[in-house]
Amino acid sequence: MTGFLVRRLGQSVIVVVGVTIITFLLTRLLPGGVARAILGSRASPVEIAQFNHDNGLDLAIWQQYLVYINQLVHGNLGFSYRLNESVAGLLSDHLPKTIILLGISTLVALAIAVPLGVMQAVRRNKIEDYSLTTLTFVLYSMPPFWIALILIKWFAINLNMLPPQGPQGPISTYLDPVEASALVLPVMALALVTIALFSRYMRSSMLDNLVQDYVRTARAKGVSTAGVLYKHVLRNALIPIVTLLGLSLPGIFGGALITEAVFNYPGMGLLFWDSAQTRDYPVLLGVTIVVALATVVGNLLADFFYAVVDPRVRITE
Amino acid sequence: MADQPLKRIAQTGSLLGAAGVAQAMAAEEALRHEGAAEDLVVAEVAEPSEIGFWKLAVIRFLHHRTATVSLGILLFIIVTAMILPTFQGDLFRLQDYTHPYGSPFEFHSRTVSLAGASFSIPWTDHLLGTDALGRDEMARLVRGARVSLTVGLLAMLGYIIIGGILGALAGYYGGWIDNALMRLTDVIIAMPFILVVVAVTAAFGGVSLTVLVLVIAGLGWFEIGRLMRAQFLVLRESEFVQAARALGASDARIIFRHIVPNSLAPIIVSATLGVSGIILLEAALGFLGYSVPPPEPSWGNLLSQYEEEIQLGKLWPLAFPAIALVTTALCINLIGDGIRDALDPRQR
Repeated sequence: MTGFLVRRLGQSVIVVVGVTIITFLLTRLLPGGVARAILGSRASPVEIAQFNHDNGLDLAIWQQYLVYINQLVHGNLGFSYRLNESVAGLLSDHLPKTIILLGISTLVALAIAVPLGVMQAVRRNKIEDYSLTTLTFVLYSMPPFWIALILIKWFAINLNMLPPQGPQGPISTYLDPVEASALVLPVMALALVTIALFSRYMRSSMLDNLVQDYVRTARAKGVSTAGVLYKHVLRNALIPIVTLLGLSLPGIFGGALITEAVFNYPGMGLLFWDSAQTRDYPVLLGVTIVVALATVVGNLLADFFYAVVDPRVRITE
Repeated sequence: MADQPLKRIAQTGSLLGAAGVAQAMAAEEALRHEGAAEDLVVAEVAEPSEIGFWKLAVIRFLHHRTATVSLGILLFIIVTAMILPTFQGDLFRLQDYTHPYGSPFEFHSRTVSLAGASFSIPWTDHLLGTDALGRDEMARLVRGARVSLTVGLLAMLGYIIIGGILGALAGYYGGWIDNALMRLTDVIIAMPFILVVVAVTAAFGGVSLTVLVLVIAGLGWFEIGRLMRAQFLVLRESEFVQAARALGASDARIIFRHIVPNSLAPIIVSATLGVSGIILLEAALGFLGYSVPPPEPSWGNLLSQYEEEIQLGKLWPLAFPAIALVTTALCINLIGDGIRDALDPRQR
């Protein structure tokens, strides 16, 4: 177990270093360069040279990278020239909002998708299974932003029940009924896509486990159908879902970007989108690294969880 | 199976002496015939598999009704997207200044003279209406299909080339190559896909079709790569590959003649399902304004006008590209599902 932990941790460190190298190269080697993006197209060569010198951009690329890593290790993610604020400061404003949005919608999605998947597996090839499969296929084939637009059209414009944009105030106001109601549509939009994905996996994971030998053994011992289903099969079927959660983190962040853009929800996705419009590289770099770190940590936790609950993983790895 | 009775007969034969041996020989002969008959039966049972794996898969696929219907619809969409725009020429960017915001299905009567007689038939210049600039929505929708489908297919080709080669190398050679490639895969998985695409395309300024395809292919190949690696890891140790190696086959021959044909099934399924994912991704990028530049339409670009359309209360211009998009993605997903069932009947 310790060997597995150490090896997995080592791999994660390598991956994080790789991510920083690639994101760093992405922003430094792109046409135009940082100076051009910040000073504008009318900047003279002298001004650009001066800017590059001031910001250490005239050093060799590996020296720049080492400086960058040194800053990163000290918690300095860079400085947004457009917004005149440190990237860390911007993130500390926007990241918690994204975490709240993603957390609530993922919990909602799991709470709906797991029972749906179980029901589909139990009622396999019956009318419930077929209709739910059709529904999840359609949801899965829908672009997330289109789902968001339909929700806005129905609930905000036609029915006038909910506000069409996400809550704009600080997090402390989220418990206020008006702000909370503004959170409903973004959460729904994100959850609907995730439900389609999770319930599909849940169904096949349940089906895989229902044919295992231990199910027959449990039945032979005289355990009731419900007992086998909930005590044995469901527990085992949930394990792959945890890995799926870890793996789908980047995709969920991608969905958050679109959802936040549609609902004008001031989270990290909207920050990223605005920064992409204005080519605010330090912010783009900072957000990418934070999301990548979250993914690596998420995968690591999923793997550890997997190793704890399923001893076979430790042996075969 | 037939060996054991023969052995027993041989042993009893030595105990029984000469007469016994003759008897035993006769018995052995009889058993041989029986064995031969058994072999014959086995051969007869095996005969249907002479149809071959791929032919059988095609037959199974054609029996899958939803998948076949989906394939028909998708082929119709592809053929329309290939043929119709060549006749329409520049219609997708020509502005009809007299008819901006035209509603769809607005017919007026028009007299047509045919062979001396004149008829009055319902007619419309713009079947699906026009957008804010008076451009024909139908032409833009059909033209946009080209971009969406091209990106989907070309990027998937990129996935298969990059992921296939890297996955095969990692799986076949193992060791440090495998380790290095898997860490590279981890890095790419950890990079948030849309975020990187947005960052790169933003940095390139205008996005061309080539940049779009290259960026998507460069970032999305890992799923195919991992599948290919897993296939190679299993097949590398399989008996037929060991046999080929024992016969002195080269690495290239083993990979291309023995492993690749046997590893294709899951790759094909994943690739099919992946195309719909790429088409949806292109739509999301177009929606955010990072797909091909205007006036070239793509389904995502057509949908990016949403704010204006919703404020005007007109959802028609949004509905058509969305329906086209969902139909295409749904058809591809259903085809992928059908192919999975056809290639691996156990997984049903």
